Amino acid sequence: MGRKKHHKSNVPQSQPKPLPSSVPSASVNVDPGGPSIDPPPQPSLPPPPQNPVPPVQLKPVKMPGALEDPILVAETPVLAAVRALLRVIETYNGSTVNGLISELKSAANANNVVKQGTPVLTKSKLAVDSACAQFIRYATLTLSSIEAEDVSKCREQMMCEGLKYLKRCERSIEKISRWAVTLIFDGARILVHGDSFVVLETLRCVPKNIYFSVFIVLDNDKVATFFEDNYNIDVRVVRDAEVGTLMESMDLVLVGAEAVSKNGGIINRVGTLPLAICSREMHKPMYVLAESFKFSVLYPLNQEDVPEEIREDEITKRIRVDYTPPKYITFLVTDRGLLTPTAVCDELIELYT
Amino acid sequence: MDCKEDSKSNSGGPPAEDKSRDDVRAQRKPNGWQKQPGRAKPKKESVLQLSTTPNRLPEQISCCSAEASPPLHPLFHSIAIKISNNVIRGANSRCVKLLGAIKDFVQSYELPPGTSWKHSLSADLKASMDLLKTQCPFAISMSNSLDFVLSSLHNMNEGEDRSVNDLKGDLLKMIDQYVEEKVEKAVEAIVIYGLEKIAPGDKIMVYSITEAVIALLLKAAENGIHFELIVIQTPESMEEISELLNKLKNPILNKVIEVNSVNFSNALYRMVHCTKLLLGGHGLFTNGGVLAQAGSGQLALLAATYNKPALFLCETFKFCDRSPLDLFSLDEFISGAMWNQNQPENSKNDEEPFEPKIMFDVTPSTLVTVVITDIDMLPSNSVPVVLRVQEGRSLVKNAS
Amino acid sequence: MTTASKESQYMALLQQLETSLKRGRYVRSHELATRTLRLAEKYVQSDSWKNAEEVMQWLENTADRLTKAAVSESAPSNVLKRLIKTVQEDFMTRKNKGKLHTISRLDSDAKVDYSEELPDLRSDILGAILDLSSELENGAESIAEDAEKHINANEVIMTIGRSRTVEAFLKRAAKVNKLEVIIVKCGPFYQGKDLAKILSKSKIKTTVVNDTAAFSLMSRVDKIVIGTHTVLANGGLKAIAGCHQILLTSKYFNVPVLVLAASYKLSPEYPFSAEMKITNRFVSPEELIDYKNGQMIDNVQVYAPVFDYVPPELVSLFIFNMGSHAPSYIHRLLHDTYTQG
Repeated sequence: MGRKKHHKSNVPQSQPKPLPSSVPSASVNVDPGGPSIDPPPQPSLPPPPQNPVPPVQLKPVKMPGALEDPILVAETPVLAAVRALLRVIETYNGSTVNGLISELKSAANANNVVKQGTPVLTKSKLAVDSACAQFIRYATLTLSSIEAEDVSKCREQMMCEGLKYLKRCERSIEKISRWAVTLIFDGARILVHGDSFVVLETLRCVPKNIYFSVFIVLDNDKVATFFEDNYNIDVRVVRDAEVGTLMESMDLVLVGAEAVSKNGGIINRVGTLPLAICSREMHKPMYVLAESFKFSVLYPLNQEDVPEEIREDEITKRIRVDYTPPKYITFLVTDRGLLTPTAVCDELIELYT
Repeated sequence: MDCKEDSKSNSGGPPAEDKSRDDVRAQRKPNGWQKQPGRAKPKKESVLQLSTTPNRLPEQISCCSAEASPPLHPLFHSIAIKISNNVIRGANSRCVKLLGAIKDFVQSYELPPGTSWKHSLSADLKASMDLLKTQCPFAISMSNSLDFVLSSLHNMNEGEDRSVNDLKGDLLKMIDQYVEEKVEKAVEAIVIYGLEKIAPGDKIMVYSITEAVIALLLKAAENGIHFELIVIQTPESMEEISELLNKLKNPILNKVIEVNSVNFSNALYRMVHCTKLLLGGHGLFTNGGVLAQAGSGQLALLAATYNKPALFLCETFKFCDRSPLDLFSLDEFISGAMWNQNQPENSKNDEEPFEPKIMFDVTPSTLVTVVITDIDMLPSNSVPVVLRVQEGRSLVKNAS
Repeated sequence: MTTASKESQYMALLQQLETSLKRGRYVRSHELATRTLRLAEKYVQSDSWKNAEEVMQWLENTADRLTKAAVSESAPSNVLKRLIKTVQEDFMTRKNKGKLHTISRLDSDAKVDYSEELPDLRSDILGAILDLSSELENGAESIAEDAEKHINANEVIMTIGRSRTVEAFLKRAAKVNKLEVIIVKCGPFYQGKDLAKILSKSKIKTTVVNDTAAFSLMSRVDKIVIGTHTVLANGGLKAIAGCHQILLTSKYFNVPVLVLAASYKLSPEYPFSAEMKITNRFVSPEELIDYKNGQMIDNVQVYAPVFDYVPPELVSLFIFNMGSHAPSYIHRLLHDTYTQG
């Protein structure tokens, strides 16, 4: 039946050892999002009276301790923002549900206002945006089933839903990597663009007995050494210009995303589009790994249509991201399962309408 | 069950059988279609047939003697029988055998009194060939070599001082030269060019096996290049495959090559692993299309999808000055070589499906990575240009 | 009938099914689906379960077991997995009867306790099984009902190999419009020949050609209609070997491809490589080796996989018994048919 597996012997495997669980000093790095997000309107945090609401603890965020590269922890601003919103619900002492919702909305906006200015945050701005929007949507989803005009009850409900959402966000990478490892078969040659944390985490989770090699498109060698030190994965760093040559011998392409547009396209680090076009031309599958909180309502028609503040780097004014239309994408691997680009729109419709 | 509705109700019409065919030709026509009474026009039976009735229909050799037409010269008759029964296979050997027969014909030609040798021979040869074309598939290589003979006959200087024997000797010499230069040397040249493109460790998928393909693979193996061979098999190409495998069977060669084999429909399974697709061509067209064994187009397309280069080996004497977009523009192939010559006897029965045997197809130039010819390795589009430059052919079609 | 005998009945059925899967003793996936459904029916009728949780557990275990018996056959596990979803839904409607509470599907983490015993559940599930079995029985016919919508007069239709669904479809189409059918025989089994005979018996203009001829004839073809073994979760197909090439050709010539599939062929399985090493089936190549002298093939390895993976971009439209859909819509169908996870 199946054929014999090759490469039985030379198995430089992903080690079973888990991610170096958050080094305390590293989490300092995360915090630019954390404290500064605190929504302005709320002065202090009175202890929540409701029972089902555990205190929101700023859970230490998983991140590779060895590498103090802010890019690798780009997901954390999202979690921080969601926590901030939770805190808004927790501390709300107005009397109407509508008031709470508008409060949340302004807090979500504030999240972004605060964020602009530093490069890390520009990168995750879209994700924070969409995560906040989704949070509000989820939190208010079940309110209609509560008949009473009881604010505290509503708040309780929202808190409960919001916490679920936060948990989902936290677990999303784990879920994605569980799906994504099935894409990687023995002997696979994988081309990776950028240093998306989800992608790297996925590669780490591939079972021991599967041998694969990774080619990572990046400008610096930092990640490669990081990988060899921590993950024991065979990584080669390649330049953007090498993509055309390499594509022929690749089996699949893995990329992350800064945001997923409404039509299933992605906005990602510049260079993704040429990579995608190249993979399509050579009939190689391209998989996008993206958490569902990155699903945004953005719908760029072309490159021009991507908002300029996202497209360009704040400081250098160079193009930072490009938009990859859905036709180049084989699958999106999300925490909601493997989705075709068309399915993204379905999910979004379900979410926002 | 799915097939519950056995459409018995459908067959209620009058018996579609039309037995009043007295014309032998009409019976030869692929007639598997049932006629829909009152609806179908009897002329155009299927989209698969040509809009015009084919003028040359495949005839079974056994019945050709019964024909009222003038008998074919026994030399050519034996060729016709051998070709139609696949005793002489491959464009090259067919061409060589035909030229041999022409040589014998010229040698034994008796000049009718009071005529010019040149003109009379040329006319008789043409007549015989026209007859031959009706009796067996006529490969491009064959008609090209025939054209060569006729044109060299035409260009012969029939001066006062030259006897018939001189002329005869000249013509025979020219034919020999043609065979040597255009056929035998061509294969050698192709092998030399082709070897450049076979690298150690290659996994070569072969299909449409011709003399050049066998020669190239053999030479590569003899040179000690270690490669893996993936043979695509179809029921029609078993003879070529066994010829190839027999030649490669030499124990020395077995050390340097490995052979895999898959059925045509499983080509995908191996295509993923192969590095090159090697095909032999039976004809080259002006628009860059390559005529090769049926299925070559599909494999070339599959190779293009999986980014594997498709290499065609084709001698330049197989070049044909036409530009078919698909098989249907080649009516002689449709009506002749490509359709099964032996329609089963029961084909009169209208309830039998029509079963044509398509032997060739035209691979469009977009799917051809390279054509290795005896003059050079070329993109298939430029083959005609190169030929024209080399042979000084004019770009405008001759009025003749 | 006593409970014990019912129990032994489904156990026997299960064993039979497992054995024929293991030994490849079955004709077509429709048969497998029907047998699986009969097995499920017997189980549900028996007293071996108390609550929905147990039924679902059994269905899942059996699906696993049957998948392991023959990895390449997805029909049994498709049927069972579909039943899991039905049981879930039935349970929820029973439980929440009168209550106005809908579980949001977005809330995928929510755990529902299925261990509650609901007396009416048995009859609900049996009803669902009955529905499914009539769907299985009439699948081909209800697909064929769409024939007139898709096949116009005087069209030339190409099909690959033999599919009973396609047979019914073309027969239906031929009742309304005149059409011509080109059948690709499809090696190494050449089942296309049988279909050709059947179709020309029912007065349809039929041409049967070898696999190799598809490229030459494609320019004359208006539509391709094929059946499939499995519809995969991404909208691709697991179809008989040779399909991939021919459908590539149809793409090259811009000929639309219709794929007919009964609902039990829809599988939540994803393809991960073009070869489908894992879920393919390999047959003995004895039919392929026909060389006159055996010595020659000393060192030749022959492969004969049964299935091809066909990517979704080569398919224009799926016609299911529940309607026709574009390949990009398959994920939605899957979601409606199977539980997530």
